[in-house]
Amino acid sequence: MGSSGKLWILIRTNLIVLNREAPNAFMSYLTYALGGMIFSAVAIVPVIGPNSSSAAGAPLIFLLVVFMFDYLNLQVLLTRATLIDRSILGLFPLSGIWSGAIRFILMLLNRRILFYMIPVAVVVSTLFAKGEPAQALAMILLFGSLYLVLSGILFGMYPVFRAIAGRYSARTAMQIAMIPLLFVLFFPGLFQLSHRLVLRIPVAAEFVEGVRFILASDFTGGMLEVARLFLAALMLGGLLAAASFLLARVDPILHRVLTRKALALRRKADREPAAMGSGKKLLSVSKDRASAPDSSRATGLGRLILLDWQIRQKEEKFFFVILINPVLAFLLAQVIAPGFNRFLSSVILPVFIVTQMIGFLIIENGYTQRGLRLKHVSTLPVDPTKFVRIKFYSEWIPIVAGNLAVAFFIGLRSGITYYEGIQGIIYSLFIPFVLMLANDSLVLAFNSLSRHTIVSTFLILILEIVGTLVYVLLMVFNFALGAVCVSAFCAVSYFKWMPALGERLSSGFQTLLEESK
Amino acid sequence: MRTIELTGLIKTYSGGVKALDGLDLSVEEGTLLGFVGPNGAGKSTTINIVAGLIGKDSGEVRLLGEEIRPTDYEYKRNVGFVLDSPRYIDKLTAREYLRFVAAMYGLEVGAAAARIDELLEFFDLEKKRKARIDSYSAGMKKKIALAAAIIHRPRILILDEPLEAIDPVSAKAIKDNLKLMVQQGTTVLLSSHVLDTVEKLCDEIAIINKGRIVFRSRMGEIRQRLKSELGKDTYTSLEEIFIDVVGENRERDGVKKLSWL
Repeated sequence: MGSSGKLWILIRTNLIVLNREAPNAFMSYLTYALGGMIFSAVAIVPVIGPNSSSAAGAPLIFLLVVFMFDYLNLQVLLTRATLIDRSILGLFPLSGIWSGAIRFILMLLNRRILFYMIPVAVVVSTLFAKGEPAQALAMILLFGSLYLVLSGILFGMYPVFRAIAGRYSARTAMQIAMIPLLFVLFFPGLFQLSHRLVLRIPVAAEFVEGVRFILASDFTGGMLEVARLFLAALMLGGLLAAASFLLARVDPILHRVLTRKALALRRKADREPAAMGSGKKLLSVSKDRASAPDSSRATGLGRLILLDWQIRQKEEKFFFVILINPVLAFLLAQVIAPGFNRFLSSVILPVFIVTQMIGFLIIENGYTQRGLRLKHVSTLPVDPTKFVRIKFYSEWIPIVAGNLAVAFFIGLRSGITYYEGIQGIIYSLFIPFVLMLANDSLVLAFNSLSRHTIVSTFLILILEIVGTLVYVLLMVFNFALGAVCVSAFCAVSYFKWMPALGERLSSGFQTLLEESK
Repeated sequence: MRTIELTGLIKTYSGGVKALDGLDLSVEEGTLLGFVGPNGAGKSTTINIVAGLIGKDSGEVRLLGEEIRPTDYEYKRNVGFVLDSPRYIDKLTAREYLRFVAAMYGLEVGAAAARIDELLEFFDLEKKRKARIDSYSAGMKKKIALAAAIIHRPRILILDEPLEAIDPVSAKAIKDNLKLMVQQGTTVLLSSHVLDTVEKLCDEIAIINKGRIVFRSRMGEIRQRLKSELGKDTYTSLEEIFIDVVGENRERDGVKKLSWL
């Protein structure tokens, strides 16, 4: 069997795996896609102008923006790129370069594409149904080109990060990094080629119109906009690289500090168990069986949170999430947004933050979560309901607080008063909190069910659907209140934009309703 | 002919941990070599280097007479691996996974199908042939790894704890077949902590400690080697030699006890 045969086998196998994973992940994908589409339709369309083409293009713009930030965020870079990973491929007679190429192709086929394909398919099919095939084609080409390019960038950046971490030699990293460079170089040609090809189609003019609408500008301006987005994305990539380097240095120090703190707590617990409250001696080490902890009592929540942090702090990803998101949002607002047009400054930042929130809901559902998981807690004499609180304190508070701080600062720059900012923060805390509780309760419910019977599978499905609906309803509820998105940013900024947005929202809805008739 | 020849292998992990310190090891064709050592001695590192999964700092790896460089991969057509933590595509069924493995080794479809049937029956996996690997027990997963390692009838088998978690009946059948393969010329490097199995199954033994081979002997010559090298007249079990060679400090300190027991 030749190399092409092996490639086919690998792609086929990857697709089988993808298909098998889909049922588990489907509801989360759906949540993501639905949230994104509702967000696009309700929030972006009014901002960029309610007309048919931009209304159809809005979800795509949303996706492209999300995609860019998502891909350049280490949530993806540090996640396994392919379903069939290197350690499996490594055992077979495959050349290094060939294996690399296969991994790249498999990465293009990874499950993450589902995030983007569902709404894109909806948009494209809507356009076809409306008798606008050229625009539909244009969207497919644009999305395909960007997907390819961004995947290339991702694939190239990954070894560079690894090289920084000292896992690859600089030479190997550079060799692999050449792949995205090729894609970046090819991108203008790819776009040009698709442009020329479509121009041969009788409805070429519509295509150009479609692209213009998609880019919310004239064609040249649109390309410049895309180029700016790329520059911004690359800048973020550079920041991430620098941050990863710094974090790698900071990490051991933090570890030592946390370990020392944990030991101090444990010593204190051993020394004075009674003074530490009802549940706080459960994790203490006892040399005497007679004085073994009473498993009926609650476990020290503070200590579990600390333990959770100790585990999580080994996960670079977690630290990126906690530390880098607010930093990126801040830099984006400070450096990029003011120099850009209204669309970027008013849409990208909220989109960025809201996708983080959505992303965390997905993480919450257990696809990439680390740290003190329920199954670990369940082996300890611990009340499992504490799990929700552990997650809340150790994961959600830093994330929400970080985003809120950034939002508050941006809000102040936008001219709102401290009083309005604080009011906004209090308001915006409500929604993530409810979301978190709803979601974690569902996670607990899922975990307590066996997945092996038809009844339990059905129950899980129902719970997932209910969870999704609750989530979407909460988003809609938030929009209905006039916020641009779920995140803290909108909660702060809507005080300034609310009147104008209200008008646009109503006219956007009106237009959508009229068009749907 | 020496089918496996490792010379002066050195590997230091980041953080300065020296896993291999000039390891020399050669195995003749048609030999079943027991490769034993305490935890952290360098067994898995050696196997991973031979499998091409990690790089070496220096030294030479020769398989079937040819030097293996980091970029080489064709040699894997002649080698089967069971690693200490085998990886599977666990969303596939056993049959699908074996079909995938057979294709990657370039087996013709018809021959692969026949071998897969036979392997599934041999490893007693027929009953769960429609179940995904992620629902398998640890022992069943190990069987899948073994089946994948031998499906292409390799000339060299590198096995890291291949019988771990496998039931005694299946283990006996596997051991019998390993012997048969060795009789037919396959070279097997078997790493295990179960010294009883190594003693009964292997033709030769090599004990690794701190990244170097510290004892090497054919099974039939152990008594003689013990007398000449360690000055011991008595020999009861491989375990005794193992403790003599790698556990001298523990022996000197007496039996270790937990303070609260």
